[in-house]
Amino acid sequence: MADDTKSGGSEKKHIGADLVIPAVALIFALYYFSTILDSPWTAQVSAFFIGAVLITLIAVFVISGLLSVRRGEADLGLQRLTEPLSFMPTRAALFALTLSFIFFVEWGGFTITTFVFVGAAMLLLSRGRNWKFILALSAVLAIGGYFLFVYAFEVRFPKGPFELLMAQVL
Amino acid sequence: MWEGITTGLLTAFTPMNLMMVVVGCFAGTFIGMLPGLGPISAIALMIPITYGFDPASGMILMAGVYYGAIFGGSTSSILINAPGVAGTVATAFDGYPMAQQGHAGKALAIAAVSSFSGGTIGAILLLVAAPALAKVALSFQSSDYMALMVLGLTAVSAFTAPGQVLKALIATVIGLMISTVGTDPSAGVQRFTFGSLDLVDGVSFLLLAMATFALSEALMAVLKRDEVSEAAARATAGDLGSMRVTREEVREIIPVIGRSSILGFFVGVLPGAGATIASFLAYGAERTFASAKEKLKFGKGSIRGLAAPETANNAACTGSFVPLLTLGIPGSGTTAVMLGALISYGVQPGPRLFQNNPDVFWAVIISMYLGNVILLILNLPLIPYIARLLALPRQILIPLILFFSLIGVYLVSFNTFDIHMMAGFALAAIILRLLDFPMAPLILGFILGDMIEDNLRRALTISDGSIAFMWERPLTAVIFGLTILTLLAPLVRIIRQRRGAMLSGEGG
Repeated sequence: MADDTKSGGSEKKHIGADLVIPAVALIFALYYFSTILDSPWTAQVSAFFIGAVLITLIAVFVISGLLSVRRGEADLGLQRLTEPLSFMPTRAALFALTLSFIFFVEWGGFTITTFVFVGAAMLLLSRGRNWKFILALSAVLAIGGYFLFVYAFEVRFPKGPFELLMAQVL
Repeated sequence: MWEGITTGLLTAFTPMNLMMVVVGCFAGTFIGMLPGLGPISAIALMIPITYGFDPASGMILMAGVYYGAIFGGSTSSILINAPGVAGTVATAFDGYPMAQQGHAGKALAIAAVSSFSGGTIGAILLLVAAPALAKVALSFQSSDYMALMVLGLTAVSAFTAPGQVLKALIATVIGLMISTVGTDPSAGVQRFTFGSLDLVDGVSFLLLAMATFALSEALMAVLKRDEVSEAAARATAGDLGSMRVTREEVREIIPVIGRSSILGFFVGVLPGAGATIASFLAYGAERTFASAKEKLKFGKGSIRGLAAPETANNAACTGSFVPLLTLGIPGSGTTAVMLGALISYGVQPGPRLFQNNPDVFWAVIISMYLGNVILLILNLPLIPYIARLLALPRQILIPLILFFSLIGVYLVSFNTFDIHMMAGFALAAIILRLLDFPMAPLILGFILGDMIEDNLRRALTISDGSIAFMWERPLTAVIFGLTILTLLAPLVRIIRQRRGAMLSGEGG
């Protein structure tokens, strides 16, 4: 597993982060139960069955984790979520760009937002190298995408200034 | 059967479907070559494109992508020791040493011929097995189906890497929970909707597939930087060597291909096993059967060691279509995504597919023969050129995959809420991936969740609310017995390992 520190047999696994998902899943399971408490039995049966299996698995997971901590084979460190740190800013920035695309496409429209998203993502990953090529490629992709999806296939992508302008021109 | 084959031939040989096979194989080969992007992502990316197509064309395209991806994965395994897909990890054991010895061309040729043979023999076995099993499956009842689906879910989890079984089971149950979001089909009550009207119809399969595979894999691929591209540029810049395979070598690999095809196909049919396990089993079996002299060559460039996993993984891909087409039960994450796609086309997979949509059933089978021929044509003369695509910088590739994932959901839903939810699921998938929670069980749980619930309710209704059907109906009881054994298998493995470690500790 990725967390296995392999330099020596005495080094511990960091399992603290592993408990995040079971904790969240447990909260979801409890919320899940609350949504069907007043429902007919047919609706309750699968919810209680799935929830019960999940809670059992979480219990086994947590107990086995805690036992390995007790045996000295693991600790409750959260390193798994943050390692490797050198890549976190890039990954976070790329995810932020993806979110930006999702939120701004409503206003910026398909073509302009695509150009900005693809260009910015490529520039981010290439650390600014080959910027002329990247900008040209992004422009070709955005305009090509416009003609293919919006103009030819009439896909209902969000319309922005570029689409409105092209609607006047074409 | 002959009528069905004729229907399949007529459907598969339309210009549109021939084009689908070619495009699918090419796209699959390319995506399969890229380490980090598996066949599930490749297929997920294809779903929005196929929404306007008829179901047969859509399935043919996706089947082409599937075995193309397995085919393509072997190229990066051989050339740069970076398997594009998990099913081609064993290919690198002897393929990469051959490439390092200057026989990359020969290794690629053996891989192509082995894959072709494995896929073709698998397709013949599928042609015989699928209709027969579909007829048997018509006598199955709801309780049998439910038990089979539960077996499929547990098997996928049980076959994951050691140390991940519990995580796989948790991921499966999370998938099941996501599948129950929305309005309960029988009682009409809303479950798990957080009071949102957008969730009343449940979570879209496409957005979950895009988020958990295409989007999150692209974001995770940031980790790999350009090492793969640079290695590929180095590997493909030089001479790959002759692709000629001698008569002696052909004679040596023919029995290997025969054995591995049959082994691979039957492993592929089993729920949860799939191409990866088939390739490792075939490699292990060949090594066991080899003479002492031949055994020494394994891991150092043995053509038997290369041919066995390459044959088995393609035969297993074909085998995995048996439960999908005949029972409507996917045995792996990849076939689960295909099942989701089939349902979204309005086609109900299962034994009745054979009767209700014979064009889809037979066209998919026939397209496998075609796909194998096309992959052979594609791989033998063109692979040195296709391999150069591996050198495409990741800083170009990753944004493109992200972009296609995002617009893919727009193409089918036009719903901003879906896109927002996809981003949320992608973030959750990244966290799950960072913590080594496998994604295939989650998507399988999601796809099978509705069907399990539906069959469980029917079984309960038939038995007046009693769960006695689990042990009173013999077939259901046998399948549940197998499920329990499957669940116990990893536990037994752990106990054996601990006991072995303790014994060696005492001995030391």
